[in-house]
Amino acid sequence: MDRDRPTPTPGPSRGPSESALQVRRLLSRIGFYLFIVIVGAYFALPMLWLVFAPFDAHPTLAAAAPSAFTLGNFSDLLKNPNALRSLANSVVLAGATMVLVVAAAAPAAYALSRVRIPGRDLLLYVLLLFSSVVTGTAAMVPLFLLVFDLGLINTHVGVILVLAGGLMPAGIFILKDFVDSMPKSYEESARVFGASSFQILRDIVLPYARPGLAVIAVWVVVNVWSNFLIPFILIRDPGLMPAAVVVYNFYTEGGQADLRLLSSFGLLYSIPVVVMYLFVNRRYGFRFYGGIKG
Amino acid sequence: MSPRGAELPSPLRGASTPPEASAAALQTRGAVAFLTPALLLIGVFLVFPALWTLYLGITDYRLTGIQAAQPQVIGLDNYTSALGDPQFANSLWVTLLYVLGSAVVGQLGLGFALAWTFRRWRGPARNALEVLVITAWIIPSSVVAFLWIAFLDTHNGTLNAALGNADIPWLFSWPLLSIVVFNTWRGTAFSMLLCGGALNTLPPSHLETARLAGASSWQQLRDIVLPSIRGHILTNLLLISLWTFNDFTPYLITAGGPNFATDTLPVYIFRNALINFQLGYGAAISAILLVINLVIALVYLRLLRARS
Amino acid sequence: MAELEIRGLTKVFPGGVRALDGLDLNIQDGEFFALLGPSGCGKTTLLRSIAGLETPNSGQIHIGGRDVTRLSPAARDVAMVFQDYALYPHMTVADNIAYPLKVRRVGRKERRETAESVGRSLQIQGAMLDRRPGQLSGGQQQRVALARAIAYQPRVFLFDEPLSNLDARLRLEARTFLKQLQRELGVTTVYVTHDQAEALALADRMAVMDQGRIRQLDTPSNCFLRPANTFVAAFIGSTPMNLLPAKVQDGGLEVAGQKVMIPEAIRAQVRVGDPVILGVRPEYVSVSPTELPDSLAGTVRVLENLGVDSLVTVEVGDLRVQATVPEERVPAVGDRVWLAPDQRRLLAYRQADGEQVGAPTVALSDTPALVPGAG
Repeated sequence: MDRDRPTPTPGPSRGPSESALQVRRLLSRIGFYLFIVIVGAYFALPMLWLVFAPFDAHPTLAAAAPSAFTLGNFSDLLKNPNALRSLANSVVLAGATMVLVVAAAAPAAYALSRVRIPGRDLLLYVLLLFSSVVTGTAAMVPLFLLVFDLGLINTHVGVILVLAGGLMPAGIFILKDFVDSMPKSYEESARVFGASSFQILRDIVLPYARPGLAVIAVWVVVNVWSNFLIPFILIRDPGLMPAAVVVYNFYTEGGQADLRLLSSFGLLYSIPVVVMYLFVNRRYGFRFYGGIKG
Repeated sequence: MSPRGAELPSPLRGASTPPEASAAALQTRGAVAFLTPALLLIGVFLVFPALWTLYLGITDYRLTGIQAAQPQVIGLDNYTSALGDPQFANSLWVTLLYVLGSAVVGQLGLGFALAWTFRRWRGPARNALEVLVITAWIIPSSVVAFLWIAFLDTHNGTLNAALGNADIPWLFSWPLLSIVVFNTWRGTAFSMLLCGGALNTLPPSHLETARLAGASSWQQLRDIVLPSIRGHILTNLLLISLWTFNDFTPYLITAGGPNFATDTLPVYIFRNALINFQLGYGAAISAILLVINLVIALVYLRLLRARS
Repeated sequence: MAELEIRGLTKVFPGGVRALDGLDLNIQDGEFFALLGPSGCGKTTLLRSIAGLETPNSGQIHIGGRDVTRLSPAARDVAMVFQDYALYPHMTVADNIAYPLKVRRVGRKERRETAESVGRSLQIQGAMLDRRPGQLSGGQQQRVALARAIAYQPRVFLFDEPLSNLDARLRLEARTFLKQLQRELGVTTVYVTHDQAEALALADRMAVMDQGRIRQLDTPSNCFLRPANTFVAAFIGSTPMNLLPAKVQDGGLEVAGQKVMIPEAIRAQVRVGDPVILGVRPEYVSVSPTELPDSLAGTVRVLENLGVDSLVTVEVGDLRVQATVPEERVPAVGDRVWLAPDQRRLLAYRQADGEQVGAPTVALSDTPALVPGAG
């Protein structure tokens, strides 16, 4: 925004007059506020429904302050076995994928960071390339067939493996950054004391890279929790579906969607992710490792 | 002072001594073991599908029927029929418009505008706006899709209510525009943060020099800011284009309709492969999408390399 | 027995940098041995090769009679203390000290006991044992690193500039402490430093290195009093040795147009007309306000106060000669003085290769390699 400029003295004018400047300033001020208000409304309005409707005994599609404020939607939700089970499924998928990714990415990041493997840089480049190019969308056909041929269609294991494979390269990169920053002397002194690579990983590298592990863990959980496509194409049984798919089913199943259920379920489903992101942002700031979210 | 070493408790004497081995060989062997689980997962669930799709594209694979048991190689038929299919062309065109509208113009434009506005603005209002923008990005896609279905609803939608109880059938009459506006809303946060970071790397002295020379805000923007962060903008553009090309969320809002007006490539693939179960054909189109992704990614990585 | 034998050790880094050039070295059991040299001379590379962290291209290393050249660091029974101490930040002091035992799968109770007893001998006790390294001072961290090395009970201690991160006063205290500790433990110690005063103070014997080669291997006393070449002469000594170009004449040397006597021992090694470099420490040059026979005449240019003495820089012809004088005999700038070197402390070096006159010619490699950062 333009700062206050020293007003030119009246006399042989060298530029716009004082009043013209003030008008211009006023206009830009108005423009600024207008912009903020419009953009603010643009972002806020669609979200309002999620804020109001869950607490409304008679919600409509419009976002309006609750006519009849209630918490009954939530208590009804908690009695809905489908909803609860789907949340549990989401937890299982997110948790298991997180464990798998961390367990596999940590030793891999350590090996890539510390050991001079021939072709390491090429490997890293190829991994980065593949992880950006082979998106869920582009690979949905072969993934579906692969999981089908492996007999893992309609299982949690299939979804977990696919998601873990997709998230792994980025996980390795993030962790490798953390491991790179560890002083070499830590590892070398342990080696001289006789520690094996595994002992070094367990006793020294992992504790040192704990912030990195936390970042990946949260990032995997958030990604899996929100992921729609993979469980959508791999799981048929409603009892195994995670919340992401069940929310979709709630509003695409025939008939009128139960807005009370949908709104409370949607809110409950969204809150953990929002909280986690804001928490990570508070601690570490948003980091972009070649743009990983997606 | 301390007694000679022999008087200290000697837990080490008699402990097992490690086998003699060449230091380097042990290291590489250990490294391979450490890499194996990750590489296995990546190989099976990331690399293999990508390569397999190329092969599947030249077969007539289907999930049921004879073709399931005995898929035949039918050459490039799938690819040629895809390229000749007007629906495929439509899908490609729709996707292009979707990317141009929501990513290039929408997300990047609005994201940059916000980053520029936030530069010297502090306070609760600014923080609130930033949180709003980011939250739009974070809420899971299936929820967000419904939020917009509700928002754009013809009779009860909030947008129409805000427009004075109009009854505009957004999703029916302006479907492509609707999803473009939706995706802009959805993804602006990333561009905003990235441009914000890029703007932070600009030394304030550059802008101040220009201001002292009499440049207006607009001129500063055009002559100094944009050229400096051009590299960041370009890489950002490639990234969000890549993501938008592959975005499946439109399916959740419009399912490709009405009448294929929002039939983006991801939706097209999904419908052909997993609803019509023409897996060979679906694989061929997927391969085409992979190639598109590859081109974008290669350019992106090349640019990243050049910048560092 | 833990003597160290190194034969023909060569290490060439990718890019052609010759960090170690055919080194031969014998270190006796229980000896405190210093590796001294400027940065890039190869001393740290040598230390790391002994540890097993670097693999030499050729040559052998024997520890206690055992050929360890191909062995992993773990199998060599050596402990290394790094410049940054490498204390693991997430472990307590006690856990750090006991870590070598944890690697060997020693039980928790025994580990704790060892940590306590080793710590006690280094004045690490009580609450300190349960602190994290980040909460300790530099000097305390250094002792913990030492304790950890001691707990390992190795055959050889390797130190990589362990005192350089301490401030000056603490460094002197730690130096004394280390010397006494090593004496009591009696473990063979190899100590890398770039600080010549430190090496002189601590070592039983030392090797002065430059560009991957050992320029002199001797006791500190000999390195100080009888440096084998101009490199060692210039490197050792808190005040730099005077190295004056001179020409042999009948009965003496011509230095800056004046004549100086040289002892018989040197005269026997040179012929008239040979170009030499005359070496004498400022401490062994006396300054007289009146003319003396066989002395160099010059004018005082600079005075530097060193505490007990002063360093006087005298212009002799177009050379500068330095001498130390006690405080009661400090001349004034501009005074005319006569410098008389102590004949017993004179050294002469060949101008061609810098070696002492009479020493066998040392074959230097054709292209002296620069060893950036490999010292």
